[in-house]
Amino acid sequence: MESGVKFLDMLEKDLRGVAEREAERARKQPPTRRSVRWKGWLGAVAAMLVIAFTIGALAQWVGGTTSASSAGGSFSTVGSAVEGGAAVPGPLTKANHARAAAPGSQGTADQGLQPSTGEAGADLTKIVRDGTIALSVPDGSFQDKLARVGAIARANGGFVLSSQTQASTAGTMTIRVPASRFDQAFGQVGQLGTVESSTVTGKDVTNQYLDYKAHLQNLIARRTVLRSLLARTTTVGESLAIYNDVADVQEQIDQIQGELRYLNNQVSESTLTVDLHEESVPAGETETNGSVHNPSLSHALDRAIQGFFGILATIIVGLGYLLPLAVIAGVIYGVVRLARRRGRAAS
Amino acid sequence: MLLASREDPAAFVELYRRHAEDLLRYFARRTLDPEAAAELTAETFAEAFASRTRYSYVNGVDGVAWLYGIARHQLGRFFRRGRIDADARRKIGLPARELPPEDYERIEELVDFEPLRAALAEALGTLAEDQREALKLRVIDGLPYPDVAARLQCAETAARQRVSRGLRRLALVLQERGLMLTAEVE
Repeated sequence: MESGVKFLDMLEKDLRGVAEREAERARKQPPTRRSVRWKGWLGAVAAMLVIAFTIGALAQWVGGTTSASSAGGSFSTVGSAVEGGAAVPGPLTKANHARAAAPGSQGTADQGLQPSTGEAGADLTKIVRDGTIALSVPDGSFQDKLARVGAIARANGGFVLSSQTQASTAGTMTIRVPASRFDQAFGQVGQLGTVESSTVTGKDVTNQYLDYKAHLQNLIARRTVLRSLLARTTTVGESLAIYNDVADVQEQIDQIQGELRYLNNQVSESTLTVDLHEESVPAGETETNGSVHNPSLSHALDRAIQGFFGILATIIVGLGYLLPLAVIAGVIYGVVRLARRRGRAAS
Repeated sequence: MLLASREDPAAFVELYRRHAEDLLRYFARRTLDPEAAAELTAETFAEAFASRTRYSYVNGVDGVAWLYGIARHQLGRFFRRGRIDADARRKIGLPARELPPEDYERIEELVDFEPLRAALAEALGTLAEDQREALKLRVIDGLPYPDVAARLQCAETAARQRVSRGLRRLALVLQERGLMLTAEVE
């Protein structure tokens, strides 16, 4: 330094010392190698996540296709079962048979819920089937088409559950039709305009139904026993105690019968939600419930959260496929490495 | 050289040798204070050394411009806070150094304050009496504004206005003579 400023000379000396210490540290622990390794791991994890996402998306897509086709199979079955009226009992499986054949199946008041017997081998499957369909219709025809949706419901033995309209150009009608006529009604509604989207869902409630039935039969048996005991009581105290028990059991029986009625109703009738809008009204302006959709931060936030968890779920699904493969690959890599080392040691 | 210093820290010393004197002169001209100029130089190089791995030649910003960017930042902080940071020096383990007594004069020679003094004297002569007095109390004596106002027996707002107008006038005269003094004093 030629300035003659001693402070600058001292600073140069200090900086040189710092630089030398830094260089020494770098020699002992090469940062480049460490950072390369760190970046390598980061890249590997990123690649694994991308692959997991891809596999997860594929798996969900394939899984969705399979479940849709299997659900379709169930629909045809339940259609025939419901068409006959009340649900048909029978030994679908041994376990179900055991549960369904619980003791004490007598009782006339309860037999309304008892499926008719004598149809051995009949399908017990209970599926609640619903659907939605979005249609665009020519301008000026909305009211007419909406009325025709109601007419289709009635023609198929159903009824209009709810209806909402918006400015006479868009709206939603929810109809209930017998499950056996669901396909027909769905097809007829689809002919009213251009189908923009449609979904049909099936929820299997067979297990729930059989559980209720078994529980009901047990309760009926218990009530019978209690009634016979009540007839044999000699004191007022005993009579009151048993009477209370009978009342409790009866209450539970009523409750389960209500649940069974509800399930039967859900199975025997299907819900079809029809979104209609005129062609000049963009589809995005209506929601499935018929209300006008105003873009809002809360909607955006909801969708963002859904999207986040959707991607997370897809990655987790993919990891489920990928991790076993990674473990196998790791084992093979370890074995090969060990063999090479031994080979080198031997040579 | 900065890029080279990322792999070879010793290359930074060469960068220092080339630009330390200019940087010291840069700070001395703006602070008119050899001690502050020296400390700011040390802190600037320490900051540059600590963050040299983040430097990359992008958007045409070369190493010298990058170094002076740090210097401007340090200077701005000094004027705003009235003190010089030592964070970077502590971070890289640079020891604290006092400015040797003989360096005060040497730095003044390096900057060549003579024309600056002449310009300042001329500029001060053009100021109104109340502005000159306000500037003396605020800038030379370093008094806070309430004290300046008390000494001048005026409101604090008026004291601020006198200092501000005086500084503006000084900056104008120095600029006319090609001697830029930062207007960030206040």
